[in-house]
Amino acid sequence: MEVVVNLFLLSILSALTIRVLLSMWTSAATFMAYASSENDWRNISRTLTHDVHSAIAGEVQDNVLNLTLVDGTRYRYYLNSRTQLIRYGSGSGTSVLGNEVQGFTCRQNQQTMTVTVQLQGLPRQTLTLDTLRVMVP
Amino acid sequence: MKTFWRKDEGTVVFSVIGICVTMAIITATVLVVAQLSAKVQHLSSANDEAYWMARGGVRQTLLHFQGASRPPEQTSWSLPDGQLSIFVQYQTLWDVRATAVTRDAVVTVLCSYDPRRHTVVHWQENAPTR
Repeated sequence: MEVVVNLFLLSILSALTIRVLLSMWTSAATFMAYASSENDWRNISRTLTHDVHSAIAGEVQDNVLNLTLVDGTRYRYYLNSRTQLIRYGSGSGTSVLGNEVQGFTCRQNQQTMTVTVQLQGLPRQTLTLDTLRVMVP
Repeated sequence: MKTFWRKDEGTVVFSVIGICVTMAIITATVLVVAQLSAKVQHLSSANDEAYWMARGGVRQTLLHFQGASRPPEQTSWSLPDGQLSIFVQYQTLWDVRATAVTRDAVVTVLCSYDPRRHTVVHWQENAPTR
């Protein structure tokens, strides 16, 4: 009886372990790509959220986002020809926020600003943000 | 009476117990991770909620400034989700500090307004709570 139970449990455990190891082995590359995209998205959403929330005004034209922060700094967000999302600050340098960005769309509504980002291997991500909209110079 | 596997009985018990314990540990780990991730998500949404309360408070005060009225130095509201208190210091710059306290989060937003230039000159989120 005990031998039967032992063999039964052992077979379940080893089947599970082999299944997990196999799937880890085969999907390691996909997972790394996913993690990299996920990291890019976190980077983009954190920077964008912080900038737009402390922006006194923002304007969108041709999917280029121009922001004016309360301290006077200006930032421009755009996709370059090598599908990198760039944040260009006047007087504060350029930074690459994400690689392999397939789409960057901004839409300004009455109250909010909607930014849609399409990254490699991730579902389309949407951020709804809010500029301060007070005392626009 | 003697069976051919009788002498194994003692060791097999340990093996069965070991496997059961291993499985229990794996299940417990999965459950704990799921619980922690749910907690992290809950705290993050609680923080967002408090942030929007504090931001709304500062924005309201700025709209008052824009309408050339001076709100009192200390205001406090009890909202359905928590408490929102706004402190204003009228010095060279007018400093606004809004703190939203909900059940699971505290968020402070700081803002400075220049009354001569009629602009916001400083904005800080996630400021230290005093």
